Amino acid sequence: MKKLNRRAFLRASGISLALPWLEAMGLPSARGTATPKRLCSIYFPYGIGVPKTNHPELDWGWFPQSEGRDFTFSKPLEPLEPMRDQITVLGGLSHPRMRGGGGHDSGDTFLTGAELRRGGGNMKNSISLDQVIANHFGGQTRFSSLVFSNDGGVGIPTRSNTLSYTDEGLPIPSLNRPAIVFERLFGLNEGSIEAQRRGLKRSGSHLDLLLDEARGLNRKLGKRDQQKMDEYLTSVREVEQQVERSAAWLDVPKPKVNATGLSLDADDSTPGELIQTMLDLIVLAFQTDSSRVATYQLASMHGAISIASKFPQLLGFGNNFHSLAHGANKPGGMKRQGEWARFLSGRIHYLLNRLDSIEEGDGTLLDNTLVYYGSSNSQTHNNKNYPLILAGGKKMGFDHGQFLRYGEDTPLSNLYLTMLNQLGVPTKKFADSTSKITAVLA
Amino acid sequence: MAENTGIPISLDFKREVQPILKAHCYGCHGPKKQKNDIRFDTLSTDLLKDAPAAETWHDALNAVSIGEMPPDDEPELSTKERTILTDWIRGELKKVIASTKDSGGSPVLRRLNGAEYRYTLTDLLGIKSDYGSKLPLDPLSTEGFRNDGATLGMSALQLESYLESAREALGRVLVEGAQPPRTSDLKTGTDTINGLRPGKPSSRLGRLNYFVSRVKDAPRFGDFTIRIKARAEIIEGKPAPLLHVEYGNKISGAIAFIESVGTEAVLSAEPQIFEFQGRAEAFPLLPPDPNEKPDFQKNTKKAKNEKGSSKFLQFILLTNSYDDGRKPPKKAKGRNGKKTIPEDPSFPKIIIESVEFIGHDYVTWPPEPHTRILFESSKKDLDYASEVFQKFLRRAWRRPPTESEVIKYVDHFQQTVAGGTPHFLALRETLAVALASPNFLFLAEPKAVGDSRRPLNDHELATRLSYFLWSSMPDDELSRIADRGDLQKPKVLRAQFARMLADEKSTRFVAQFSSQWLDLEGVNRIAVNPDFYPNFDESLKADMAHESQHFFAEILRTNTSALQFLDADFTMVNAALAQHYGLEGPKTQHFERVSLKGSDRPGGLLGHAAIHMITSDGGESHPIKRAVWIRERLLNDPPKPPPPNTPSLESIDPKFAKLSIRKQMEVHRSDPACNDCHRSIDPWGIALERYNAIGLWRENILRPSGKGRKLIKLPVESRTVLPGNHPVDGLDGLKAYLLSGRREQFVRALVSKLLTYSLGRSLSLADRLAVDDLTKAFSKNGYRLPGLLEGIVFHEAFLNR
Repeated sequence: MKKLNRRAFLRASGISLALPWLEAMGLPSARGTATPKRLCSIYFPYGIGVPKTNHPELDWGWFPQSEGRDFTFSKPLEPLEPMRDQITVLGGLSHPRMRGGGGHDSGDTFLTGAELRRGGGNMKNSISLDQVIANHFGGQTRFSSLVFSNDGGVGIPTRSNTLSYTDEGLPIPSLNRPAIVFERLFGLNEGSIEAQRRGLKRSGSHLDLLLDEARGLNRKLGKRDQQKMDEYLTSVREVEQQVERSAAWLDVPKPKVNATGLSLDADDSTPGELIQTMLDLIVLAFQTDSSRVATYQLASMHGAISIASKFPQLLGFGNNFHSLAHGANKPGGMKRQGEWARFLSGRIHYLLNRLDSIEEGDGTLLDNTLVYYGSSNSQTHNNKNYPLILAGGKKMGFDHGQFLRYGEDTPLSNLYLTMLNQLGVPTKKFADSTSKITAVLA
Repeated sequence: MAENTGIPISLDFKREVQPILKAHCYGCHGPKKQKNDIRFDTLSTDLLKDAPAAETWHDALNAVSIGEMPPDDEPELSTKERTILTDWIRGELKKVIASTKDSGGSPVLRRLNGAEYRYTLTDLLGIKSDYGSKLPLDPLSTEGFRNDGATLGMSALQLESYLESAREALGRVLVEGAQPPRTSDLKTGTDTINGLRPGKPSSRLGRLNYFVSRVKDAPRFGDFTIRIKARAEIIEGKPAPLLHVEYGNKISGAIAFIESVGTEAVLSAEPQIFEFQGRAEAFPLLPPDPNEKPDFQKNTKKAKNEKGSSKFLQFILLTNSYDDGRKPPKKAKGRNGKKTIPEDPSFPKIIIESVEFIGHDYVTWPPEPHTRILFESSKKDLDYASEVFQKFLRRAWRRPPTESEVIKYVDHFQQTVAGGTPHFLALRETLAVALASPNFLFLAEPKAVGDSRRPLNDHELATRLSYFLWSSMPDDELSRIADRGDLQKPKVLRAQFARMLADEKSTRFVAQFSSQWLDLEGVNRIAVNPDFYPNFDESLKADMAHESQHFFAEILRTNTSALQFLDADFTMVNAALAQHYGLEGPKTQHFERVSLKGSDRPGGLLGHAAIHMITSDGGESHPIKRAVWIRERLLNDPPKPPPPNTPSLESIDPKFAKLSIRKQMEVHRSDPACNDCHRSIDPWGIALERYNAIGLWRENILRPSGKGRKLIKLPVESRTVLPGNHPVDGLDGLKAYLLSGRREQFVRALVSKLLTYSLGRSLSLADRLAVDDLTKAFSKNGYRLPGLLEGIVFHEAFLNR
């Protein structure tokens, strides 16, 4: 990776001074000598409009009307048209094991492909796509992965506020406050390196004591309690790994990033700024190689809990997430939902554009970043035919500029299997995959 | 019950029960159709072995008991058939309950949730602060509670936060060295700092003006007091003005941080002293040296367009936060020819006479929270350390630590010192570990031999009790009694229960339980649509939630009937909400009891604006959400979620938007796939149609026309027929029916919700007996909440693990 000086970087990125910029590019690229491969997955709930062919608002349907390389952008996707050669639209795919699940139950499994059944059935999820990559490459960056949402925390099963799940299928809490994310990524540690090293050493021995206590308590607990205690024990081990990682990264200063231009106090009252800031933070994290994997859930499919469900209304799209989706078949409804989908497409365009404007090696950040965007409903309640977009990642072998449509015999996990292998994680199977999807590759 | 009906207790399923199911149920829940995913011909009749089947039979029992099944359009069960069917199910369930009793209900290790964590640290350390503010939001259980052990998880991110927040907290509590000198900064007139907010700096606070005081050399840590001398210009018949105090700082011309210190009503025309206390650490982002620029600048919305000096300054900002719901008048030319916002004579004002900032304002040194942990003692060195840890662990872990546990902490402290950490820091760090320990973070109740049910010991009982009533740790008195082993004595337990309920800390129970039971947090996820309600003031949302919380508190405190949740002749409002409702009474932001006699505001929860709002989409009312709320929250009978791949209403009827909501729902139900569930859902919500999304009576329904922002008007229809063929007209009819036809179900629901909350877990089949007992006693006792809460505390479900 070519080392950039600041001026060259500014010139190359095309970022004006109003946007965040790096003060120091001192990060050694030697952690992994190869160019980083990255994945950013973004999810929105409740699906999109799928009008019948005689529908008066047909052009507000989300999917393009024609397939292959000659497809035309639908109105909701139009904002992405300038990046036509950087994106692939996918139709017809879904996770077979959730097709018969509850209409709003499929969000948790978007990146996992597991089967969740409420009312006495299986409620255990499995590892998510991003975490497979994080486990593989995590050691090479300060943060193994970033998990974001607009709601924060874990939410409740089938309506989780996170896209990411551990090896054991446990939800990883998402962060939703830009100031906290910024502080974690770029905040300065107090004290000299020596003092910090002593601090980390102390933390290490504290964790030993906690582990010892947890084991002691665990022996005295009943069976169900022990399952809960396992979560604690696992957490202690994970923090231990993080402490070790921090120690290993101690000599590498955190990248210095000036926060001017970032709306770090954006919250659920200013959704436009919040979404943009979260996307900016993902770009900054990738740019500084602080992490190579990010997930971002725009809202969960729990209208009755999700604080983000009011976002479309606050942004002037007339109603909340859920009602826009349910109202799609009212007169004017397809257009209302389509306008909201169009707004979201605009945000994705913003992200792609930012990534594409930053030089990296002999290409751009976007060439080494795969952006995956979509929902787990087509028309709301329908767990088939997910609306999906794959973008960027050309240096990882992806080819774009098509609308590809698949039948129900192709599980979505096939796409994930392909993504894993292109991202440099040699894999034979992911969840219920049967083979790779090669049509997305050059 | 079986013993009174004359029917033999042991019924033969094949011979006696199955024919009834065959005749009445298999048609919809059998081989051909499985409505609601229920199928009886293959459902296991061995309830002991098949727990999900037992739950399904239990649901069936409820549906048949309240007459919901068979549905209205199917032949009814004869009395004999009904008795045989329900007796058989009850009999089988009893066997299940009896068998699970021996092996214990289902205790689950419970992590402190966010609120409990905050309250516990507040009580443990004696300093109020926003502990754990970086922790991720806790999940809700299926019953809507945030204290359910099974759903509260743990992750690396959380553990890291616990450790960090414990370090921060102890860093504030424990002090080193001599007492810092007290500082004082007194102002009698406002300073001028531009761009803080609209309006002008002034000593007379009306709608827009503000008083600002620069604080010189404000300390970075420790207790401070802001002392204000102020009086009011009261306007006859208007509420009192509200003095709102904020403290913050500006860096390079931008507001870096500002946070509220408090609000008080100014009631008198005579000058009064108001004192607000705070901790400097709670107002962070101060650079070490006030002349130095901080590394990290926080941009705020308010400061976006500012340029200015690179100076760092700290200030107190005083405003009048009284809100009459009106927008400020437009700018007009004043006498001097400049455009200004004209004075509003109808707005109550505050006159500020002086503001004093007192830094390092300690009563004692070291402060009491410090000496609570690091007390005076004649012991030295390791003996002292050992005593410190013994006392701290006793309080933090809600039980006496074992000797070996104390030794481990003393050892750890010594090792940390040996590793080169200064003595004081090592002590602080080691104490912090105790607050990330599972012994602190979890309410653990270790198993007995064979994991069987056992009585709680005194410390466990004290803990359950205090997390139930205080959302926090036991206090010194309760701990002493537990240490003595006296808490199990009924007289002692009763006295402690009464003391704790009377304690101010029980407001935490009121706030936590009422907001989770009624889903009051919901007001925050609704965006009120300005097309519908152009003058709606956002701050009313919190007031609305508070009305329902205060209402719960009032019914509890006055020891009166809980049926008032369904209908009451009073409500609890403050000045702003009273004005919203058009009620006379309160003049301040404090909530007061106001009689509804002679007014047209409806009493009971279903008349509260918060309930109307959370069951709306911010513009229109949402009858289905309202129906689900009633069934979930008041009747504990939540409808099933929509099935997969529900057909959408392809009702491209151009007139659809113009149909009344009731007609639209009729169209919805004309699809048999929808009708099965929705005929027992929709009518509940229709009855509330007279109330709009902000809780006000309406003559017409407003609906987007589909053309721009134009709204069309439709007449309200609130007449409906509830399941079981009960016609009702509007909210009054609904309330009357709930009180007569669903009283038992409501009371049972409330008991179930309270028991669920008190135990911190979902109720199992075995807990049905507890609910039965408690409901019976509750009804006999005139539905009084204190009695019910005491009944829960004395019930074996609460006293055992």
